[in-house]
Formats: sequence, structure tokens, C-alpha cells
Amino acid sequence: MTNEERIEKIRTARTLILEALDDCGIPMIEGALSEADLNLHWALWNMGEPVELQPELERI
Amino acid sequence: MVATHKLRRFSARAMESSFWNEVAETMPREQLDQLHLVRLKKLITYVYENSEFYQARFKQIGLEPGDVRTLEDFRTKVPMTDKNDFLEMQVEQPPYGPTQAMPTEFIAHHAETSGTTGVPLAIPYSLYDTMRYGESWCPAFWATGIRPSDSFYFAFGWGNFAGFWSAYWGVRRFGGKVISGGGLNTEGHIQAIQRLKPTVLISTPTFALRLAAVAGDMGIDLAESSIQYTMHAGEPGPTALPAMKNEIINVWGAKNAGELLGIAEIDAFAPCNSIGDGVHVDEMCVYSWVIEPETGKQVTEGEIGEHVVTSYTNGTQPLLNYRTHDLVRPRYSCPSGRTWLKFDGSVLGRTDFMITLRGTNVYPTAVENILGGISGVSSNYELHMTREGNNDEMEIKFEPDPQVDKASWGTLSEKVSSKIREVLKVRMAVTYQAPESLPRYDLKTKRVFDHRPKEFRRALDR
Repeated sequence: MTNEERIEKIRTARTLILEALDDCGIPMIEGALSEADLNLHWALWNMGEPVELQPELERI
Repeated sequence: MVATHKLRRFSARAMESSFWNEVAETMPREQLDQLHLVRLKKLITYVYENSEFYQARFKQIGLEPGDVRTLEDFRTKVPMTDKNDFLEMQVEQPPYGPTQAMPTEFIAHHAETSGTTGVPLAIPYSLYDTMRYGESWCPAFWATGIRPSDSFYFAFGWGNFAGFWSAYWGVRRFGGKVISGGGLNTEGHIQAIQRLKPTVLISTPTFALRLAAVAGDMGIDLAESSIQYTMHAGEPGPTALPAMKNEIINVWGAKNAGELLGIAEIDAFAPCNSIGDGVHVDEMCVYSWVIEPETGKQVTEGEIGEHVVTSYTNGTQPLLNYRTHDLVRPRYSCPSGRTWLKFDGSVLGRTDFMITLRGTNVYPTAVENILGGISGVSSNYELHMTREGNNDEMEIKFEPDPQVDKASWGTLSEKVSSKIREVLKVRMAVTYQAPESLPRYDLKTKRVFDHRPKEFRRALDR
């Protein structure tokens, strides 16, 4: 897998997480998914992707 | 435990990598700069929209986020900030003042600077800030030869100092085993290392030497201990002072000793490289440039200047064009293969600790570097600055290595004095002190004592 393909898969994973977060309402699951999204954002950031600066705020 | 399982946290290919993150650490300069521009534009907009302090400051000079179109624009149009700005605001509006850029409910951790130069600066972090801050330790661990299978002994207490916590966050990100030495005295640390058998020591460099000396008094040779690597921060260490590196490796019987340059309120932003001849700015976390302190003009490669840093990863208390007062020599290439901006050695001096001795500007760190290179001079010394008439003066008090014969102490003093004269072109008073007579410190070692009247010191030294 190329890095470009890997980046695309991470982007897809973020989309899936945000979909799973939508209207969740379970504190434990929301916390776990939010932290997972931070890690995925960090992976993209460190692959040199021009992602958003503060996912914690921009997700709201 | 089942001994034959094949589960691993990292793949064999990852374990063979020369870098913690090769994509980022070897990214070509042009690509790094393009990325910085994109990220700085986002950062400018972010602070304008979320930080009362930055919004007011930008409005004061008529700066709109859209005015920053190039890196040059960022360097010249965005105002410089200084620790004093933040300290003053925090005193007026504790705990964080108008620089807080995220809602309080997002603050996951409170830490502080060490306070060794005065009032500690309060630093708020979001959960994401702590993850990113911790990550900054990882390239230094990897370059030193440390791997996630190692176990880390933390030879310090657990107060509010950001450096301690960031090291902890770093080992958590790295995947290593954390062994806390919190609450123990020096002898207790030594006993814990004997009992728990960690492979990595994390401490200030002088405390690593202190532990070895105390162990010697206890009849324990730490060169025989389980420690294979040491990692240091908080004061000039193995990268800045090669003599100290050799001493640490020797007394601990270690394979390598690494160093990381960090500033509590910014990040643990500059890991050592695999060669050990400098630190590199982690350009995924910060944007750095180097200026002439007097003019603010960017220096060219190889010229010493003051490091100015902007952090992408302090979302809660952003720091833009922050004057560090650290003097560094920038390089844009390195045989280690890292493309990140390199500082030869590490920090070479401090703009705010400069004194003028008979017309010559002298930085205490320059003196420390000279002392570190003289055989027979231990790593225990003090620099005392005084004002005599119209002149600043500096006196060096040092301890000879314990193995140096007492009859040779005077000759060693003369050698120090002569080397200082030769390298710095100034004369200083040099006196030897008996081994073990100068005070020892568990946290940051106090080496520089400024006895000059306040009006003769620069603002940050008062």
C-alpha cells in the first residue's frame, strides 16, 4: 500500500467515526470515539496532510 | 505468561526503521515550508477567532488573518510574544488570563514552568495537546536507540512542572513501560533501580551524575545496573556538552545518552539526532526561525541568533512568534538524514543572561561549554555575576573531579583561567572548591548566580 492509499484509508476511518458519533448519546462511547478521531487526525497531520488545526473544537 | 505468543505492538519492518516517523523527519525542505504556510494560516485564523489576547493585539496593529500570505509575512507581520507578556496577564487574571483559546471544559491538564527564573507560568492543555506534546519525545527516544520494549525510570517527583508530565506522556505514546520514582529521595531512586531493573533513565543530566556519585557512596556501581540508555532534558546535557555525555555513559555503563530540548510552555520540541551532535526542531509541532536579537532580522544558516518559535500543538494557550531567548546556530542539512531544522549542539547561550566583561559579551553557557571540555573539571560548578564599579564581573567556582590529586587543584584552576582567556578573550576569577562542597539539586541545577543590582540586569533576570 502506498502512503497516499494509507492516507485515504485513514480519512475514510475518520468519516466512519464521525458517523458513529452522530447522535450517539453514550458518554463512554462518545469519549472513546472522540479520542480515536484525535489519533487519526494526528496520523494524517504527521503524514504531512493539511488537515484542520483543532479537531476537538472543529468537530462541534 | 505464554512465552511463545507472536503478538507484537509494532511490525518487524517498523522496528527496523531508522526514524520514529520517516515521512515527517525526512520531508524535503520545500514540502515542509509549504506545509508550514498552510498550517500557519490556519493558526492565525484560529487565534484571531479564539484568543482575546491575540485578537486585541492584531487589531491594535491592523493585522487581519488574511494579511499573512507567505512565511515572510508571518515572520514580519505577526508580532513577537514573550514570556513576560503571558506572566503579566496571568498575574492580572489568574490562572491563564486572556490567552486561553479553548473553553475551560476542554482543559484536561494544568502544568507550570519550573519557576527557576521567578514566578512559574501556568500552562493549560487539552487532551489532544497532551498527546501531541508527548509525541515530541518519541523521535529522541528512537534516535538514541531506545525502543518501545524498554522500561523507563523517572528519577523525579511529580509536581506541576510540565517537563515531568510531558516525559510521562511521551513514554505512553512511545509504548514503553513507565516506572515512577516519585516521592523517593536519591538513595531511594538507586534502590528502586536495583530492584525494578529499568533499561532507560530519564532525569536531568546533572541528577544522573548525582545518582551515580551517591550510589558510589552506598557501595553500588551503577555501571553494573540494568540501565542501557539515559535521556535528559531541563538543562544542557549530552548533546550540548560532549564531555558530560561521556561521563554519563561511563558512570551508568550505558550504550547511549540522549537529550531533548524543550520549553515547558511550548513543547518538548527538539529531539537529539542519531549522531548526537545536535537537536532538530520537530517541524510537525512547531515553526521555528532564528533572529538577530537586536534587530529581529532573520540570520543566515550557521550564524548564531535567537530562536523564535510558534507552536501548532498548544491549542489551549497558543504561542506565536515566541521569543525563547535561547541562542542557537541553525543548520538546514544533517548527515543523520533528518531534514528538520537543526541546532548545532543545542542551546549555545541565553540572550538574557549575557554580561559584558570589559567590552566583551559573555554568555554563561559559553563558559559552561569550556568547563565541560577541560579534563579534571567535574560537572559541579557555579558562575557568579557581580557588578564592580562600572563593570560586570564573573567568577567561576568549580569542583575538581574527585580523582584529581589535591596538590593539582591550583594548576587546574590556572588551566581553566587560561582556557577562558584563550577562547573568550576575557579574564575571570577562577577558584576551586573541594569535591562535594557545592550544593546538589534534584531538579534543575542552579549554576548561575546573578548578584548584580537589578538595574544592571536584563528584565527576565530580575
